[in-house]
Amino acid sequence: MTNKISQVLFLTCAAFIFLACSTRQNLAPMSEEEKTKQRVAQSKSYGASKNTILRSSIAALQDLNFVIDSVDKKLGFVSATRFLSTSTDDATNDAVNLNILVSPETNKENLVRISANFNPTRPTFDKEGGFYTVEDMQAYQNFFLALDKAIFFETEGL
Amino acid sequence: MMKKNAFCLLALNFMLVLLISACASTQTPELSPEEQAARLRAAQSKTYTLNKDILLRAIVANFQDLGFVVAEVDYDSGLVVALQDTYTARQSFGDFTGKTGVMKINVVASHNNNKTFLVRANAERDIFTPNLNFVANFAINDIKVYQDFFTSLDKAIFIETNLGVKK
Repeated sequence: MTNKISQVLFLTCAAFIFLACSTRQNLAPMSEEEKTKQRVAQSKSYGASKNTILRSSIAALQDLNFVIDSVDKKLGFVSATRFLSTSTDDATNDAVNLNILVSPETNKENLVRISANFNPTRPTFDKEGGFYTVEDMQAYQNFFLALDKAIFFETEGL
Repeated sequence: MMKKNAFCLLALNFMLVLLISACASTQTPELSPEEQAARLRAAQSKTYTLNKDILLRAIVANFQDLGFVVAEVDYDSGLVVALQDTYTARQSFGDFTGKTGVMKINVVASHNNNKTFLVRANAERDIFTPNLNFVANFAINDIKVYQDFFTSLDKAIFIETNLGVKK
């Protein structure tokens, strides 16, 4: 009887130690196909000048309540953050960080590439605590809709 | 008798040689701190014969591909700073994928001469407590991290220069 109890205890301890020592199972690394799909969803070409696109991007970000962190006009880069809490009482301080890169394409086209990271600043640094890339393609499409409108307003001088 | 003794001596000699060679260490001699620093510096650096615009855009695009947050870009100094939470990342450099902490990489593209740029990357790992308080940071001296970085940068440069995105 004592033997059985000690066996059960031993097995429980072993299972506990095993679980405690295990690390997070890595997410599957992105395949080349997935990377290409993501790159396509994050990119859009515009027949406007680099300056117009940069100004429009900043305007679109401001429309969406982002705070502009930095702009590099020469390279065509914009970084912005949007805090998702709506009140000061909100304990969470979740944020979305957006990077925009405007690259000149052939002729008069410019390619806009955006990438977003979700930063759920929760009190615990568990598997959901760190920041990670937004892989929802709809989110990128929504931003491009806002950018389309901003470019229209910018080019029409509205 | 004399012949037997000579044979024994020869056998003993042979065994001694065998023993010594078996015990000899196969490890390469340890590098001096200066040699290690030079080796790390070499791994962190690569020269590219490219336009500065294409090079910097490829560096940023490479970080975007890998889910880094590009925190800072300065065209004039050729500086790009990017961060990645290696714990949630699907792909990181070296064997850091899945490890807690934030990887911060500083990349500087500096002029070598008219057409060549030297790209130097420095990575560090920031560790936080469960309450997200900063604890410490360590310089990453793992050469594999820099090899992986330059391999993916090469791909990004290829895409930037060949797939329609040109200046």
